[in-house]
Amino acid sequence: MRTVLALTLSLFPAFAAAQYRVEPPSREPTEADIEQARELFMQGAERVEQGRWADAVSAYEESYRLSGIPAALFNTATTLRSMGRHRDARDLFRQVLEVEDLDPETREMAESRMREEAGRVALILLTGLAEAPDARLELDGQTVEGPRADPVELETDPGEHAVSVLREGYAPWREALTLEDGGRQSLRVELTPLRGAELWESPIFWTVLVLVVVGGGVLGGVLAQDAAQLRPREGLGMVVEL
Amino acid sequence: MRRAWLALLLAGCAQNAILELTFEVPTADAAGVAGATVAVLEFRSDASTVPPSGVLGTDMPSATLLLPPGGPVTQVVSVVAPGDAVETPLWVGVHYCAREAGCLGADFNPMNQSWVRYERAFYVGEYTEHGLPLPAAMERVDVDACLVYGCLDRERPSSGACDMAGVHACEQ
Repeated sequence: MRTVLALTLSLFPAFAAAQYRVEPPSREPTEADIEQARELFMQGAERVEQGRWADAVSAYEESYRLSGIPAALFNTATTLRSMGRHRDARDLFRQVLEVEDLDPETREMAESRMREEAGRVALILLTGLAEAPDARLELDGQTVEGPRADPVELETDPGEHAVSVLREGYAPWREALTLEDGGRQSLRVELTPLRGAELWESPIFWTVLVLVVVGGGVLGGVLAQDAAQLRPREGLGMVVEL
Repeated sequence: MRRAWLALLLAGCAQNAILELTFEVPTADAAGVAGATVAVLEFRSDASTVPPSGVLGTDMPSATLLLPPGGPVTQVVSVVAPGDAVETPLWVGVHYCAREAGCLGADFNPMNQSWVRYERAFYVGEYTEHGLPLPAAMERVDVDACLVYGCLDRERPSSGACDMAGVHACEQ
């Protein structure tokens, strides 16, 4: 269960509404747990030195899940910070501060870094979605779930991002933007109805189309037949029609 | 609606036929028509073997030819037949009158009249032709189908419009 949760959290995008958390052990750790956690902690440190940031995060997180040692959680947050995942780092520093018996020095450092990371989290404010509750909102290609406020606030990390709003019967709305550290950008979502698609789906459209095609064909046929009839040669004389 | 669909199916195909008649119009003083100034031609699609009778109405297919004072002249009349009349014999009535009113409508009372009967003059989608002197005396002329020319290769000598079996060139 913890493994599944860990995987879910690591894959969960930074813009998700839920806070990024790593759960501590639900029971008192055994000696074996402590020993394994220690090994994982050491692995995390080695991977940081190797620049294998994602592997380091995994090792620190698992270490914390086994042991509940605040240092493992603190190092996870620090590694996320190095990766540029400021929103997740902020959340984990905040989680570190929830530990009651945290030593003052670590608490002070966690507070400092939490504020620092909070200041680097970028924010996208989307307005215009209140009228489209069934629209699908995507940030960087991933669906954003959760309740919709107005404006919708999307926390994310600095850098390049793409926001999309997809709604049936409307043209996709897309916006690409680049956010600085702690940047905020407001976007107005304006969905344009797909008149063509609506028309296409209308039985009236098909009825009219069939009538036009058949009518045009019949008219064309009548005209073609009339044009094909023999005509008296000009200049010959009188013409009599039976 | 059926006509519309039929029109679609038949689009591009002629359904009518045309006979080009070349008449030699007699002079006003020709024997049998002395005193006449006009010849009114009446055209009827009629399967009957006897000449039609009755008044030539003003709304009926007709053509008025003026009899020339000098020598005879030729006059061409193109007769357009709808598709459903092509196989029916064509009757051409020739009515001579001192004035046109005597040959048309309520005052119909020609001085002299003749009839020409074409056994078959039309073929769908084809031009045919025939020439004859406008009969002056009261008479009836029967024209065989093979004497109505059409659909022939003009380069090839021919004594008629039909082959040895009597089949018209327009039907081959």
